[in-house]
Amino acid sequence: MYSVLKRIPLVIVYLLILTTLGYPTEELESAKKKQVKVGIIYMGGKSFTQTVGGFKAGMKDLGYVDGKNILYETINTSGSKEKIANAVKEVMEKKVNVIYAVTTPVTKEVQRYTDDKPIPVVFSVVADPVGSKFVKSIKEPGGNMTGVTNLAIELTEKRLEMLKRIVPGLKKVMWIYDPNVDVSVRAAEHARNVCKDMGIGYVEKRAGTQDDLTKVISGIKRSEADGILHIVNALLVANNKLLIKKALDEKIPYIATDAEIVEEGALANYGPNFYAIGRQSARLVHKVLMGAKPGSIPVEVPDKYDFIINLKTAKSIGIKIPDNALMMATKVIK
Amino acid sequence: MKRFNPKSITNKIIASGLSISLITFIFALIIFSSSVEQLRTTIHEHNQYIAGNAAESVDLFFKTIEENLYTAAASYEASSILEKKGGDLFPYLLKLPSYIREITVLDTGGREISKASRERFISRVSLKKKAVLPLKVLVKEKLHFSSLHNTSFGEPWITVSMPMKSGRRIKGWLSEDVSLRGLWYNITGIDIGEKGYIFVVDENGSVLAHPDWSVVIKGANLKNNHQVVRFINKWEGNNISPYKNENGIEVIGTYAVSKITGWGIIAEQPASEAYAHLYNFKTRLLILIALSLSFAIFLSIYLGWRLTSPLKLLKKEAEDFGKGYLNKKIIINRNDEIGDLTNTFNNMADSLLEKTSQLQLANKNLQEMFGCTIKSLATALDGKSPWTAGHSERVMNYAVAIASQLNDSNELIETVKTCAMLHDIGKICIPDAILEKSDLFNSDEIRIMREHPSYGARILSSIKQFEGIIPVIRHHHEFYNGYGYPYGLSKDEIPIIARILAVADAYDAMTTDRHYRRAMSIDEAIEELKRNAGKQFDPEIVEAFLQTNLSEREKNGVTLHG
Repeated sequence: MYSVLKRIPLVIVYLLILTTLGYPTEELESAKKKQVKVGIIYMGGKSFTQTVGGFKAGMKDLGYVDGKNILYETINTSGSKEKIANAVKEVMEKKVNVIYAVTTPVTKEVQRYTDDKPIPVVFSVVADPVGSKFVKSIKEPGGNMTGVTNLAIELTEKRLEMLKRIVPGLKKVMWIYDPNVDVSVRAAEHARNVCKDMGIGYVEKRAGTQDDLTKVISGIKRSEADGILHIVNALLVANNKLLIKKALDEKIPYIATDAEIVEEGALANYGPNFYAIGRQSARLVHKVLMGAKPGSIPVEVPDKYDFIINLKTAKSIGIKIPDNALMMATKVIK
Repeated sequence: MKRFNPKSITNKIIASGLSISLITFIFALIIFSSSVEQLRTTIHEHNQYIAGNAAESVDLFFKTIEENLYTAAASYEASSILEKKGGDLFPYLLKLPSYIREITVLDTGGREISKASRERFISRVSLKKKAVLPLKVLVKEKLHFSSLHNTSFGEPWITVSMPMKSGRRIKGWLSEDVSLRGLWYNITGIDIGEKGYIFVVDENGSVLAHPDWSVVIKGANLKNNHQVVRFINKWEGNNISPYKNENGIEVIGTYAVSKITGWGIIAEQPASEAYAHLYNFKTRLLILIALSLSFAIFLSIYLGWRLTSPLKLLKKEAEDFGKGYLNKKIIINRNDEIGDLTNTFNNMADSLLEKTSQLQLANKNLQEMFGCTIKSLATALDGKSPWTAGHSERVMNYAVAIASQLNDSNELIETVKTCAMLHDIGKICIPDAILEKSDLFNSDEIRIMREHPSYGARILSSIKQFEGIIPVIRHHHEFYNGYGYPYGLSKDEIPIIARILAVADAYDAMTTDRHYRRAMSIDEAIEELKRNAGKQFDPEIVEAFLQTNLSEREKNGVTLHG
C-alpha cells in the first residue's frame, strides 16, 4: 500500500505537466465568438415576408449561421398595435442584441418600448425616418436607431414619371391620402409639387378611416383621372384589393409602390426591391453586432429599384404599353 | 528543520534540477525571441497584402466605371442627345450597375444637356445651366474625377466624367454619378483579423471612408497619423514598429495606393491584438517555465527526501551500533545502493557481534589464566615450606572477608585477592636457610627477612598491571603507629589493602603452627589482635575482622582449634 502512496506525488507532477501543455489559449478566441440574438418584428404580407427572407439571406452571407452563432426571434405581428407591442416585449425579454423592425408602424412601437432601454434597432421599409422621429438626421441618426428607408415619399416623382412613360397621354392623376398620418400628408404635398413641375393635373382624395376609404374607392370613376398614383398610405395598403379591383373595373392605370400590389392587379410599380432591402439591412445589423453605434451609421437608401409591369392588367384595361417603357421593366407579369 | 546545509544531497539535487530546467528554458526563450521578429514581419506582410488587395479592388472598381463611361460615351443614346436628336438616358441608366445612380450628358462648355436619375425626376428645368466641369478639365480631354461629396442621404458620391469624341474632336462630355457606398462597405468591412481596420484617405489626408462612418461625416483629416504621413510622403521601407494613432492607441499599420484615384488605403491594427498570439505564446511559455521550475523544485525535494531519509535512519542505527547495541537490525527494504549499504551494515553488525563475543570469551580466559598464574605463583611460594603451605590462601580468605565487610566493590575484592595471594612473593629472594630456621633469628637474619616486602615489590614492578598491587606488597608490614617496616609509614599513609593484609596475615600466623612455636587458640589470637589495635593494626580493620570472625564462628557453631 505504502509503495502506491509513495508514487502519488509523482503522478500528480506528471498530470500537472500534461495540463500545462494542453493549456488552452485558443479558448480566448472562441470565447469572443459568442452567440448573438436578433429579434425580427414585421407585419405579414408578401412584400415584407420577402424583406425578412432577404435579411436572413444577407446575414447568412455575412457568416451568421442560424442556430450556431446567431438566433432569430421572428415575430409576424399582422396588423394590430397590441400584437406589435407584445412582440416587442417578448423580444426584449429574450435579451436580443439587436431588433430588426420592418415598416413604420412596427418601428414606432419598437421605439416606444426601447426608449428607456436603448437596444440597437435597425429599421427598414420606413418612409420618413426623420419625420417619424426615428432619427435626428439621415447622415447622423444620433440615437439607437438606423436603417434603410424605402424613399416612399421621394420616389413619388419617379413613379409619376414612370406612369407618364406608360401612359404618355397622362393629363390628370389621382391619389388617396390619409390626413391622419403625417407621412401620407407629406407624400401628398410632394406629389402636388411634382405634378406642378411636370405640368400634370391632379385629383386628391382623403380617407382617414376604413369606412371612408371604402366609400372613396367605390366612388372612383374613369372620368376623374387618367391614372392612379399610390402614395404613402398604410390604411390603403391594408385595403389595397379594393382599389386594385376598382382600378381594373374602371380601367384606370394604377401605379403602385411594391411588387405585391402589381402582382395583385395594379398596372405597374416603381419601387425598391423588398428582398434587396432585407439584404441591405443585414449589412447594417452586422455593423451593429460588430460594435458600431446605430447613431453613427447613416440611414441608407435602397440599392435596387424595380420597375414591374403587369401585362395582364394592361390587356384587361386596354392599355398598350410603349415599347421603350416595356424595355425598361425589370419584371413583366404576363 | 536543522541548520541549512548547502552541501546536503537534497540541496544538490534541487540545484541540479533547477539548473537543468533553467538551461532548457533559457534556450527556449532564445529561440522564441528570434522567432518573434520573424512573426512580426509575417503579420506585417499579411496586413500589407490586405491593404494592397483593397487598393486593387478600388482600382478595379474605377476601371469598371471607366469602361462603363467609355461605352456610355460611345452609345447611341448619348450621341443622339448631343446631336439634339432627342433621346432618353433613363432606359440606358437602368441597364447600368446599380451603383451608377445618375448619368448626365454635357456640352462642350460643360453645361448639362440631359440627365437621368434612379430616384429623382429630372426635368429640363432642373438641369444646371452653369458649367459643371472645370475649364481645365474641359481642355485636358481626359477622365475626370470630381471630389467625393456626401449626398443629403449620407451617400458618398463621386462624379466621373469622360469626353465624348468624334474622331479626335470633343463633342461633349458624359458624367456618371457613382455611389461609393457599396465599395466602401466592401473595403472597410474587410476582416484583417484581431480588431484590425481599413480606412481610405485622399492625397491631403481627408478621410474618405472609415469603418466608423461618423469620422467621415465629421470631415476628419488624419494627416497627423503616422501611416497617413507615410502615404502622403510616399515613404517606403521598414515599417514594423508600432506607433500611436489619432486615438492614442498603439497600432501597427501599413498603406497601399490606388493607382487610378491616388487615394491611400491604410490598414491599422492595435499592436496588442496583432501580437496577441505572440503575447499569448510568450505568456504560456513563461507560465510553463514557472510551473516547470516549481515542479523541478518539488521533484528534487521529493527525490532528496527519498534518498536521505533511509540514510538518516542508517546513521542512527550506526550510532546505536557504535554504542554497542549490535542486536538491532536496520529494516530498509530497497533494491538500490542504499539497500546494499543497509545489508552491509547488518552484516558488519553480525560479524562485530561475533568478534565481540569471541573477545569477551578470550578476555574471560585471560582473566582465568591470570588468576591461575597468580595462584600458581603463590602456591610455588607456599610450597617452599610446609609451614607456609596454604598461608597465602588463608590470608586471602580472611582479607576478602574483611574487605567485604568494609566495602562491596567487586573490583576491590579482586585486587584484595591478588594482593593476598602475592603478598609474600618477596620471600622467594630470601635464602632457604633463613626461611627454614627453627630457632630464633639473629639481627642479621631479621634484617634480611625484613627485606621481603621490598623484594616482592621489586619482583612485581615489571608487571604494569600490578601497579596498584605493588604498594600493598611493599607496605604490608607497616604498623599503624608507624613502627613498621620498611618505611615506617603510619595510619592513612599505609594503603588500605596493606592494612587489611596486616591483620589477616597476623591472624593466620598466630593461628597456625610454626616451626618455632605452636598455634594459639582463636580467642588468644583475637585478644592479641585487640591488644595491638591502634598499635600494629588499624582499629577499624580489626573491628571489621572481629565481626566476620564472630559470624563465621556462629555459623560453624564450633571453634576451630580448640
